[in-house]
Amino acid sequence: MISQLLIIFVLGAWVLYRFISLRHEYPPKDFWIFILLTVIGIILNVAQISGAKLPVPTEFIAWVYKPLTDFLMKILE
Amino acid sequence: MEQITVRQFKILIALNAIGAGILAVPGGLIADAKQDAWIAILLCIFYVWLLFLLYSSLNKLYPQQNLAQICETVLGKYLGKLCCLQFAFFSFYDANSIIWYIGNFLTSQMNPKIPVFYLELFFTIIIVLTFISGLQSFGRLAELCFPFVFLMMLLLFIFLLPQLKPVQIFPIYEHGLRGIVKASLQITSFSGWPMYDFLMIYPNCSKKHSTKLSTIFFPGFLWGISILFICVLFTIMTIGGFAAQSTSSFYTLTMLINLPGIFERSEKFLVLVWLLTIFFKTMLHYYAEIISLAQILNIKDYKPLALVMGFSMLPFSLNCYRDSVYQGIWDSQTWLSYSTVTCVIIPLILLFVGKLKNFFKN
Repeated sequence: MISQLLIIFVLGAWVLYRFISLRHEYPPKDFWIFILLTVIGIILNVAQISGAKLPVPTEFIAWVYKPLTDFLMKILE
Repeated sequence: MEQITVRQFKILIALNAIGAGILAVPGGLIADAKQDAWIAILLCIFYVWLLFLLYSSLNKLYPQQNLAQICETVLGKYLGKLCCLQFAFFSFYDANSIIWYIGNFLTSQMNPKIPVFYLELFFTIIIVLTFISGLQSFGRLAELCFPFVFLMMLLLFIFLLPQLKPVQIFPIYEHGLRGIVKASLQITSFSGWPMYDFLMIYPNCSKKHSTKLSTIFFPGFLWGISILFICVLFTIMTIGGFAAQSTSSFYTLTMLINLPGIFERSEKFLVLVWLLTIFFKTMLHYYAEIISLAQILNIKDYKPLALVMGFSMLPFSLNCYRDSVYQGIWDSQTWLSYSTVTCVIIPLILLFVGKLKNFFKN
C-alpha cells in the first residue's frame, strides 16, 4: 500500500509541477481546471488505495437505465 | 490540426471492431444463438450499415465539426454540453471497463500473482503517453500493428483448421429467430455502436471533400468484423456449445493448437493480439472522452487534459465492477440499453433536430 501511495504522490507532484511551471502557456481558467482535476484525481487514488469504499460507477448506471433495460430484456427474452 | 490518412482511419475502425471481441464475444453469442451465432454476426453487419448511414447523414449536415461540436451547434449551449457529458462519461466508463477487464483477465487466466494496481497503472500510463504523442503517431502505430494482428490471426486460423468439425453448425436455425436477434444486438452493442468515437476524430481525417463517411467507415468495419466472424465460426465448429460456459472461449480454443517443437502455447499469441486491439479501442474511447470534455469546459488545448484525466482513470478502472459475475450480468443486460441510448438514440435526435433547424432556416 505504501509503495502504491508513493507512486501516486510522485506522479501527482510531477504533473502539478509541470502545470505550475508552464502556467503562462495556459489561460488562467484552463490552468485552474487542470489543477483542480489533478487534485481530485490524486484524492480519488489515495481513497482507493487506502481501502475507502468508493461508489461503483456501473451500479449507478444500472440504476439509471433500469427501466429501459427491463423493457429491452422483456422484448428479447 | 493533426491529420491521419484514410487508410489509417480504416485500420483504426477495423481494430476497434475486433477490440475485446476476439476473446469474449464467441462464447456470449453461442450462449444466446447456439450454432446460429454466425448468422448473428451477419445481422450485426446490417445494423452497423444502418448506423453508418445515420452517422453519414449527421456528418453531411455539419462536415467540418466533430460530434461534440455538433451537439452544441444543434442543441444549443446548455443542452449540447449535457449531451457532450453523456458522450464523455460513456467513453470514460468504457475505457475504464476495458482496463478493468485486462486486469481481471490477466490475473485470472495468466498469472494470479500480478498485482492489478500496477498492471492497470502501467496500461493507463501507456494510454496517456500515446495520447500526448498525438493523433498522427497513433495513426501510424495502427498502420504498423495491423499487419501483425492480421498475420497472427491468420496463423491461428490455419493451425485450427485440422480441429474443425463443420457438421457442428447444423441444423441451421434450430432455435428460432429470438436467440439470433438477441445475440446480434449484443455483438452490435460491443463492436458496432461505440463507433461514434470516430465522429470525434473524423474532421482530422485527410480525405477529399467528396468522400462520403460511410465509404470510409464501412470497409474498415468489414475488415474487423470478418475476423470476428471467422473466430465465431471456428468456435462453433470446434468446441461448439461448451464455448457458452467460458468467458474467454476463443482463448480456450487456441489452447487446442499444439504442434510440439513448432508452435506451442499459441494462446499467448492470441493474448498479445487481444492486448493490441484492446489498446486501440481504449485509446479511441480516451480520445472521445477528452475531446468531449474539452468541448464542455471550453478548453482549446486538450492535450494537458489527457494527463489530468489519467489520474481519475485508475481508481475508476480498479473499482469499475464489483466482481466478474456482476460484470457478466451487467454486460448482458445494462450495457445494451446504455450503449443504445448513447450511440444510436442521441445521434438520431441530433440528426432530427439538425434537419428540422435546417428546414426552418431555408
